Amino acid sequence: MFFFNLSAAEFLGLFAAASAVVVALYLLDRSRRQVVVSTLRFWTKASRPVESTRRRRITQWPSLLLQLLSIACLLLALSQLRLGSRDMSSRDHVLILDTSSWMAARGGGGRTLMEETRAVAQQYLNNLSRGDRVLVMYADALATPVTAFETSRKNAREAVARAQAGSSALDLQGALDYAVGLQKRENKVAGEIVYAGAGRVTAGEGGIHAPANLRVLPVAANPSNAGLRKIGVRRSTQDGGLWRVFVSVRNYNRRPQPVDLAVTFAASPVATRRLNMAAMAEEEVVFDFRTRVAGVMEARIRARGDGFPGDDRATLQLPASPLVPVTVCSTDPRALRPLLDAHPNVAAKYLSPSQCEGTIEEGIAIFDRCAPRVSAKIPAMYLAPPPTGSPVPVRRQAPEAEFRTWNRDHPLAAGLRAQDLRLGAPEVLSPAAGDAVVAESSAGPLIVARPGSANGTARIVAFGFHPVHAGLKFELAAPLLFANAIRWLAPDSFRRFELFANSTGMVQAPMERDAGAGEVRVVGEDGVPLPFSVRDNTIRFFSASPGTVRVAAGDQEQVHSLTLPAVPDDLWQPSAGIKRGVPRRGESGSPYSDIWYWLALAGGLGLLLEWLWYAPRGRRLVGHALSSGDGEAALRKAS
Amino acid sequence: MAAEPLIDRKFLEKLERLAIRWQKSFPGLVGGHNASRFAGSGQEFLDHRNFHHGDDLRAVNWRAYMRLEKMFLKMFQVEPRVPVRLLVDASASMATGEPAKFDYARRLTAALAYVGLVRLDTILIHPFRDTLGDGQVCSGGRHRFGPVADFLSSVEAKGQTDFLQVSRQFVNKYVNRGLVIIVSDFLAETDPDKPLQYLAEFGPEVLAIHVFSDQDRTPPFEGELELTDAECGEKLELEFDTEARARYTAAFDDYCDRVRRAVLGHAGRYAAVPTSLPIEEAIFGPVVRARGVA
Repeated sequence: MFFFNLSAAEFLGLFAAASAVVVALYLLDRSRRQVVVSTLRFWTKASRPVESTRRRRITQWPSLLLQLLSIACLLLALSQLRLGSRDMSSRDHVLILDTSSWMAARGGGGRTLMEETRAVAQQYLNNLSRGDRVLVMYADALATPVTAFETSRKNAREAVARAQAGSSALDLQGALDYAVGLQKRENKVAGEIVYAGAGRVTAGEGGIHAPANLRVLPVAANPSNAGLRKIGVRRSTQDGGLWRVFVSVRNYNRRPQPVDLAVTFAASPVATRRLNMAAMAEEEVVFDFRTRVAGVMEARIRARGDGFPGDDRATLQLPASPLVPVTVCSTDPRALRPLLDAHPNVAAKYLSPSQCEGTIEEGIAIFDRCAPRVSAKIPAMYLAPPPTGSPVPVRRQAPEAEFRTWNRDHPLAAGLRAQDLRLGAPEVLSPAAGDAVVAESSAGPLIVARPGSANGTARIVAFGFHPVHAGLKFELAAPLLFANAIRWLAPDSFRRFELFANSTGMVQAPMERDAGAGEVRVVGEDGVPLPFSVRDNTIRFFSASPGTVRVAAGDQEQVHSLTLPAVPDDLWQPSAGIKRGVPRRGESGSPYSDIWYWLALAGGLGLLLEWLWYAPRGRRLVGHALSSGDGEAALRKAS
Repeated sequence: MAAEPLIDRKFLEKLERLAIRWQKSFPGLVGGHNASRFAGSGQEFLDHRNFHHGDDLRAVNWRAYMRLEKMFLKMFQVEPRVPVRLLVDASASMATGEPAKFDYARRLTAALAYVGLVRLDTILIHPFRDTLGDGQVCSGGRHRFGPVADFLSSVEAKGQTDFLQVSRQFVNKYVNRGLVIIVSDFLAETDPDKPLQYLAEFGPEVLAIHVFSDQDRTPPFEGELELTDAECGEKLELEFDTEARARYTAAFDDYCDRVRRAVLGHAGRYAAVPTSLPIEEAIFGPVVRARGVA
């Protein structure tokens, strides 16, 4: 027995003060009263000699005792007297609600696992002792407390009712560790940690270290499921219009399951497969697909009796892959035609120099030994430009010049190692400030690259020699240099592009070459950079919510559409020592009983009875109620 | 702040259908000293008498003259115009009770005065204590009620009661008999039997309205009491309990019964009115039942 609101000393002090006041009032009330009356005529007949010794003496012991008893009851109610142990007066429970993606699956009764979990959690809250505090926590890949430790069941019930299945897998161990930490941080009597959910975890989490105070409210249903695990779409580096598609399908059932896979692009069928999948097996389907237009690719599977439709469909937005228009202004187009035809992403057009004046508005322009009177506003390549009209001034012609070096840091010289190049009589160029010298001879710069600027000027590459007509004609460096120049002039058209549809949580993005952390960018759907790490050519990042994440490293870009729900592989089986199911009312160990309302009722009733029995007005009221007709009769008689 | 009116307008409207009643006939007072706005003779035939010189020829029974060749004069009963005198006890004992008996008596007196004024009676209001105080005469209809209310509001309850002295003064002052309405608690040092008998023997018809409070009949006190007489200041200490209260109530009822018998024994009328009874119910209840008004 203990007082919840007051200490014993406070209670005794209050009771002593109240008792003193009551006794004083009692004695004052019973002392001689002075009354002015109309006449003493009738009083003398009713009077009795006054016994002065009775003054200041308690004459109605039951009345005083009843008053003191009633006040004691009211004070006990005020101090919330509780029967039981004070140490266990209030415990802190943590209710973990599984809100992983798997909770959206439908069980046998047609209800989702989330609905069943909410029902069982509400039942648990109903049977919880009133004085206990409870904290509600949602758990998927992250553990998120949604209420504080509080005795208000209203907030907890509302939090349970709001719980919805998410899109990530359950990290049960993390949620349990977090709950234990919360209970320790409160530094009060720890109650139970209650997990309500299906217990679907990944295989690596099979060995969960459950705390001793764990209780599991299991959801019995285990729906059948086969679903998409991942979709990848990669653009071919050889052919810009060719896409390679990877679709990964998993059978989560413990029995074989036939699965029909259908892939469509822009609502047109692209591929269909029938997969006879073994129990707990995963298969990958690979096929090629050709398109240069943008559109939505959708992969859909169909399996008999599937209880979790969330992972049966995935979509990817494929970007367009247009050809780069290249306009060649030359009097001898035959020399350049083999170089351009070998490039899969280029659509070349050949014009005479006179036709090029002011007509080129898109793509790349190549001026072969000529130059327009007005500089082109698009990226342009100048091959052995004439001294008049060249955007990069020609210093002189140097027949004696010998090739000396490549600028290895510039993309135009990527992969070029040749040194003994015979260039005939190249032009020595005069670079301006900001221009990059890509190749240099003993007489001066031979290849100059001018980057574009923000005010609208486009990129320019000027060659001091003709890569086909010079001695370079028979060198392997010629097509490589030409390809590098076109790639540098139109980098977006040659970017390596990959798209993936996978699930939220930790994502690993393997890159083709070693990318330094400085050139890697990982950006979320809203344009906000996400934290990431790079190890062994693999970029790792975490996203708890569905959306699109772009990973860019050099000329390689990956788009991760995190729309597939993460479905763990295994069901967690709690060990035998763990408590299961909803406890009966009071079984959760209500350590005390609240009796303050009974005490308040008793106190009020005592005061009422005292007033009715002993107070003059109350006695008149009782007397009137008992003989309601007597007064009227007397009045009638008097009249 | 304006003083609360003694009687509200709604109650006044209800009082207009009442009239003060009396039982005795007061011969010789027909068309007497009391001012009245009524003119002419009565309507009810009373008797015949021989015609004398100077009689009004309009009252001659000409049919009897045609048959008997003698002139007989028809006599008619004239509605009596008796004075209505209201004696209001203004002693200190009337100031006791909850609500104070004097406040209640004032409102009761005002209601009766209004009833009389509406019927064009002449009303004389006399507060009394050990002597008969100055009176207020009013007549002439309902619009003369204002001075009555002002007069009653100005009277205070104080002093002792001497019924015998008041009776003597009243009889000496008003030799003309009429209706006397006494509004009092009839509590004084001496019993009121003798003064009431004295008053009745000198002719006036008495309507006694006995006002008492619930505290007068059933005191709510308990325990040791130090009592003070409101009029004489005498003190009494006693122990009061349930049994004493029963004895007290019995003595009070016995006293009321004596007063009632004293009044009724002299052809008067008696109405006991507790102050817990609303004025309206008192008028239309005990006072009507005592045939004081109808």
